[in-house]
Amino acid sequence: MTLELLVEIFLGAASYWWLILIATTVGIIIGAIPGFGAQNTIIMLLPFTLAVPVEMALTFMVAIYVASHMGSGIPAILLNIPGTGGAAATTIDGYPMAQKGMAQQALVLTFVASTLGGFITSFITIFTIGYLAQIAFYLHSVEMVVIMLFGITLIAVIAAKDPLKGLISGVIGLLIGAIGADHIYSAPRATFGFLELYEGMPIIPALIGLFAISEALVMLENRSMLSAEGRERMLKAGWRETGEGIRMALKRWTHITWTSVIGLVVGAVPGAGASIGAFVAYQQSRLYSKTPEAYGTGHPEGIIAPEAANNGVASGSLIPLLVLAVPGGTTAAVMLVVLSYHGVPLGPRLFVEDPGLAYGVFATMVLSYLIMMVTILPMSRYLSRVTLVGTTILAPIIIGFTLVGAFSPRAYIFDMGVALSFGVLGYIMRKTGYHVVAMLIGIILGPLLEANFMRALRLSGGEYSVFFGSNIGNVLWLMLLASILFPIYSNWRRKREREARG
Amino acid sequence: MTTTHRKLISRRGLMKTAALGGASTLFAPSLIGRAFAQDSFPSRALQVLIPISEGGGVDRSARAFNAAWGPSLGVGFEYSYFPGASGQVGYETYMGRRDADAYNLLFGAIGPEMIMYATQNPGYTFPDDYVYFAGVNADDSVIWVAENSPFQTLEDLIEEGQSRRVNFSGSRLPHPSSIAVFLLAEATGANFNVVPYGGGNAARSAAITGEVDACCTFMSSSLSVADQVRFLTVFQDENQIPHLTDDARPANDILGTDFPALDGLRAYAIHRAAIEAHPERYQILKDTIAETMESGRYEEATVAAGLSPDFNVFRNEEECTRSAMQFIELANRFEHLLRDA
Amino acid sequence: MAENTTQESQPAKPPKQKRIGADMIIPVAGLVFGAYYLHSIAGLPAMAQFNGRFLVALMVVLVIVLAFRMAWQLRRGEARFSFADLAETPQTAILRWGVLGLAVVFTLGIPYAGFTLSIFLFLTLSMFLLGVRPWTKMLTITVIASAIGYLLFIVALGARLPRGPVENFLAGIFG
Repeated sequence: MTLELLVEIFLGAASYWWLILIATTVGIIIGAIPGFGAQNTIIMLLPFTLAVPVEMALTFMVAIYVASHMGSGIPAILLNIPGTGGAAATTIDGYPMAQKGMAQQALVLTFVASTLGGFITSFITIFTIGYLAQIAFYLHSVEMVVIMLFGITLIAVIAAKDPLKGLISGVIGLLIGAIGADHIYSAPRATFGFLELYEGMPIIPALIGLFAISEALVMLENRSMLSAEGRERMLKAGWRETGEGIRMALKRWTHITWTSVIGLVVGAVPGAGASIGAFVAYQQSRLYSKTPEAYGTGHPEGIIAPEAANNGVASGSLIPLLVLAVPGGTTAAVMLVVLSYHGVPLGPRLFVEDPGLAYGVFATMVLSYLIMMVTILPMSRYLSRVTLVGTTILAPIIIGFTLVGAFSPRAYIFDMGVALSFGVLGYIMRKTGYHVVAMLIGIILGPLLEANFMRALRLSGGEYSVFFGSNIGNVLWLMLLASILFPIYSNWRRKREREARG
Repeated sequence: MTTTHRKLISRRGLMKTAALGGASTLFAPSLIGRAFAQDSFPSRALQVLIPISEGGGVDRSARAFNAAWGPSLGVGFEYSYFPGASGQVGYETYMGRRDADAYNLLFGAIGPEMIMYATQNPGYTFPDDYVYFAGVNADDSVIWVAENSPFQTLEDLIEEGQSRRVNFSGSRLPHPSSIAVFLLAEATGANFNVVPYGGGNAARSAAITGEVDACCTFMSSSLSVADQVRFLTVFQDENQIPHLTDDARPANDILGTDFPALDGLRAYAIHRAAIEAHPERYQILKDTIAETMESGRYEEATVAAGLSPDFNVFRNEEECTRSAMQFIELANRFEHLLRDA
Repeated sequence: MAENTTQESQPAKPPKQKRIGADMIIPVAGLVFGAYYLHSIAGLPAMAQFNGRFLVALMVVLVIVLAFRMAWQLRRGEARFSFADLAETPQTAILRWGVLGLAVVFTLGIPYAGFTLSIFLFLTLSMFLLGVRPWTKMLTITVIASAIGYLLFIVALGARLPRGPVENFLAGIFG
């Protein structure tokens, strides 16, 4: 990376500032609607991206993509409905904070963590893309199994009030995640006779049911989703709260940095997604926190970690596409169609023949985050007022529109039925003390874990020793073990200190 | 359940307009189309059901061909997508919930979907309930290794397979490319192990990043990684694009075997009942396709859609049925490998 | 009744005796599903069964531990058997299950009535049921919400939603 090239890519990206402004606005909106996302929007806008020059098409797609990650945190905080799986972890602390009447601060935390995390990781990527691309050569099925286990250990700790019930929810979630064709023989399992479940439980409808619909059903018990003092606080809120949110976030800039780097590393692995990055970052954040018990009650770090991480994933996930010409996710797969239509040589050749285009992607990201910082932060004040709307109006709107979101990805009415079923399930869970996030972690990570596990076994010809056969894998196992033992140790030490003090 | 969407029609229109500039004439009803309009068929848009996700290779092939076919027919196309269960959702929907009136067609890939048919026992029968009547695009199974792989030729790979297990990444086991490896292993006694990655992109990624020894996949989707890989062989009578694929020779040439073509022939299918109830409509469909093939418009439209015309073919009903039956036979023959190791 | 509805929504002050009973619904449902799962994978290759068998076994162990814990709590008088967690006043029940019923009707009706009309009817009937008054306010909200839905999903995003009379009518006007 020469200084000349650096200036060139930033000037190039800056010349499209107006397009970035439009695209990030669109991206935030679609990211905030559950069921919609960058992928279907880019498919729908294909006529545009195929018609315009490739730099413009790429700028547009990249800006929409990163903005959608940011938008998905908005409903997670305001309504306990993650716009995508990547924001599911954000609900854990975001919604409790909103209920306290601090929706504005929570939104600002999301926005600052997302933009700063995305900004830092896309900047890092410009200088280290060659090394980051190497990650894909070292993290294979075995290593991914361990990385996903980091996220899955969250199941055990997330339901702090009753870990046993949390584990039961998580295991049921993992079993629901194991519905559908198995990953080796494509043999259908537990599909209840529905062809629509053959490819597995559709995640978006399940997420909408567990979070949105069950939340709406519970919501009806009260006139407002806010507590009494929360409502009072919300009514008085003004610009000062935005400032407070910014201070809360900036004070934790180191936290934003390292959790976003977790996202970047996970994102650079083809096939790993924003949800894995966000769950792993939340788990790590809680693990090394001095106040792990505060997580789940509206703790700022609990919002920052998953949001910084899912934007870090966004920076990382385009690396396999550009460097290896293999899209790491569904959105990248659509981008591949557009880039190959325009005749862009992807893979190592791209960096020789058109480095400006390759690095320009990340310059666009950097600028997108800068622009979003300016456009979205002032909106927090107004967006947060959604929490003041009465539940008799909010609940029908949530149910109606999220059902449409459940329908959208596959256009199956069946999926609306899935969402309703999960809505009832989620309602019973909430009422009887079972953790819906624990179940969702199982549903999202379960199939990925199983796929990698089965693949590793098949690669080794059925030898279980394969899971301990790689150095990187073994280091990860040790880290996993440490992250399970560490909380036990620190609990024990705190207890002893307390006893010593008398 | 159906959701045809006008938006996409205009999208396709835009796509072409953008790509061809002034070639909007492609969409204007042509005189040839009208000439066939005895019973005024077709008097409205044809409904194309695609049993795979929107935006994928099959979708793009269908749109490229239809851009050329439309002017002969004099009507447009409306698309609906029913992905799931390796295509079974789409086929079941087509058989069970679409009128057999020759307006409703299905566009799929014969190879993978006949293997699905043979292994999943769906609720319809081939060729009693439907027939493939026009194959317009064929993608061939290939085997390649990463550029830095020690294996230079197919023989190297086979030799290695005599002494140890050689891993291939594939998108799934019930797939023509996986069956290609089964055939290879059977013919040479090599210990070849196909590891399904759940999708072509993941399979290619695994081979490039060195998790497996080689990749068995389709050719056209491998072209974007062509400069990072070495093509070793192709499972077809001849390599359709040797200049882009390291002059890889057909497996039958290298080994003296007699493997059938393990391709993914993308083809139009129609209800058998529609042929019987409306033979004249079926004839119009076939005649206009033949006319399209001769006109040269298909090649233009393929290039305009950003695809390679090297994969364009034409296969009639008989040839399509032969290919389909072959895949049923292969899937049955390798059932033990598809169901258990 | 301004209690928070957080993830683990429990009564504001834990009663002296824990209520157990309703919290067996989820584990029992889980076990039933687990049994069905095992039934559905019988005969599949061993590798396709591995994950399911492992998870069901784990679930059985966890549920047994939970059952023991409950029995222990019952014996020591720390808990009593009750389904009160799910109890609700008839009024709330009508509202909640009424809205859910409307949502089911909405889901079944959308292929026939199209998106815009269905969502308008669903919103209006639900808000009517929930007691949003006056009429004018309620209708203003539902009309605006449906219009935004139409503009956003159908016009702007071109989503593949079912079309009905409203969409066809508007398409007729605007082309």
